[in-house]
Amino acid sequence: MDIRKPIGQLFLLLGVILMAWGIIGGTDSKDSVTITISLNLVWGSCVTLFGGIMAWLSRSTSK
Amino acid sequence: MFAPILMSSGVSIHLQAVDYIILFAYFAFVVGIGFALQRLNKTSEDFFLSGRSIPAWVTGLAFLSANLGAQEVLGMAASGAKYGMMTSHFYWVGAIPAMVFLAVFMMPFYYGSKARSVPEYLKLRFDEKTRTFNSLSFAAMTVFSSGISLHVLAKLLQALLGWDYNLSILACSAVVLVYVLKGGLTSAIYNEVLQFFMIVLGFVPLVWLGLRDVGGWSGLVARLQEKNPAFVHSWAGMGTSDNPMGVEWFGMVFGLGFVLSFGYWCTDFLVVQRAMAAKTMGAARRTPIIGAVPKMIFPVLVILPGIIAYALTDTSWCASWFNDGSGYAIPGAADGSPDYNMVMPSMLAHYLPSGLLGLGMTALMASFMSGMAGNVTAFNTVWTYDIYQTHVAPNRDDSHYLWMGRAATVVGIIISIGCAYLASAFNNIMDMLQLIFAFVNAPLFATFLLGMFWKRATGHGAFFGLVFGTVGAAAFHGLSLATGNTAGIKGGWILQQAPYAYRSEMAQNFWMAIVAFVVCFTATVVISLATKREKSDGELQGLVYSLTPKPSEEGEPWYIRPGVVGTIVLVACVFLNWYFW
Repeated sequence: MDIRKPIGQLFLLLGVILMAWGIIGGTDSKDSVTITISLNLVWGSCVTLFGGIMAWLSRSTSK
Repeated sequence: MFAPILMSSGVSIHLQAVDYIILFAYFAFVVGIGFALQRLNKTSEDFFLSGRSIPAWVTGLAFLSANLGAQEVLGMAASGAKYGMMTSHFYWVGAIPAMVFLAVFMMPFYYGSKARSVPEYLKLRFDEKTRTFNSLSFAAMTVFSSGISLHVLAKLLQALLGWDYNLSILACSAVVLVYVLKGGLTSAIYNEVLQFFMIVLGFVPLVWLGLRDVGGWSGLVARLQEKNPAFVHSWAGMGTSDNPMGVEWFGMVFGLGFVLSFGYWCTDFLVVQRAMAAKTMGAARRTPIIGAVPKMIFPVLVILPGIIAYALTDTSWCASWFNDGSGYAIPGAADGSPDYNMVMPSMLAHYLPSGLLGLGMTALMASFMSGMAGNVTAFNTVWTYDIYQTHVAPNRDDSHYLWMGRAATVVGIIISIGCAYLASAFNNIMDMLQLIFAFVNAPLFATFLLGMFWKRATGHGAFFGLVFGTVGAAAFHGLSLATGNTAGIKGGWILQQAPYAYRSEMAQNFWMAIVAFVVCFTATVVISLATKREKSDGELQGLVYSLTPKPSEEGEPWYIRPGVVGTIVLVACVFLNWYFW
């Protein structure tokens, strides 16, 4: 089994969850941290991108 | 190497549904990987050594992650808040050089000898009694370490999330048991890689938010210069022991940078096992170097949050460091002193919104459980190959040893649970165990150094050298004491007025390691010269440097040559030490 496959799948899932949480505005805003962007949305996108790259790499080697 | 971690402050974290979804998704994948790999474990070598089939980048990240347990994540953030940049010595002095040395010089012997474990190398190089001494102490050490890790995790979950201690112990043990039992070492290694990425992706937002809060890197440095300039430097204050760590440069370089570091990274089967699972000799040699690259920059993730925490905490206006309500502050313990061990969890709670908080907490839990799994896989291998197969049931068929490996996994987890309860019942048991481990581990590198690079070293020399080194470490401990400690488990138990006084426990431990190494080294040389060589040059081929053909790197591109890449890593490490001088 290529480890990049489960890594890609897991982080794709986690990234999508974070993005969805960021989009629906379910963020628990921290009074002490004034952020003008949705952290969950931004970081969720990064996590999704990472998961996508890993999944793609695993797909390219299995061919 | 680190102080036991106990939670006492009132930091609490409230997870929301999304955080629990992230947590359960991660653990579902972890267990799923174990089940997916089950079919690959047909022989004992598959179960214990992953069939020696794993690529270097995977074993390299697992090599790093096997060390990335509870003590690393919580302990390094705590040390960052307590000692500042000096904590980087645990990486740039106490890890990288040893990892490169393992890759370039020692891995050819471990991998080339076809030894299945580090104790088995000792059998091939020396004799059975030296292997048994090492395997018994190592097996005990791994299950106790695993138990302590489990105890700390359960205490953390109880303190932060209000989870039941017993339930946390059972649930975490069950997850580790399932994925190790099903997938063996491959499953543990794969999950360590998963954990590596989880920690990186879970902690990066924390570092970014913390840095942003403190005014960026320049703001952080300015605050530290104002509060305590020693926190900005790694070496500048180390001419004497009058610095936050209480350690002078020689104790740091020779005690941590040589004896303890090389003793751990080059001889501890827990980490070496990951390299031994690589599919080729070249991959095995590249494993520690691949691990060394992220290890060099990991202080950003685990030490920097601690330094930021110190910089943000107002220490000027009152004796105890409690939050005045305006921002982040290091939490206080019940007695009013700063509770450094809670720095990382309190930073997570302070900065991360739900969602990211779930990611961060999952990373924290993953590090604990991965550390436990690493110990259990090392235990089941050493137990089965070096103790059971050697002394209890030799010459049985392979399926029997595969069965025993699985049984040892279950028993190892049960003993770990027992040790966790032992640690919860007796606070001193953790100090005692760490002390005994230090006695046993500190002299071990001398044995390997002489075994690999001096063909005249004999089995009697190695065995009695280890025994004398261990006794020497214990005697030194009984004659030394750190400032502020009372005689007893912290030292000074031979003479009430200890003749060797140190500014800190860390300095005492570093010097104890130095003494143990010197005693073991000297005793091994003297006894070897006084006893007859048992093994011929032919028998030592592949086990001793001067008698072994050097692995050829001809025709390989420079970026996969361990010597070349190792040199680059060392130069980068020297640069970091210089830059943060």
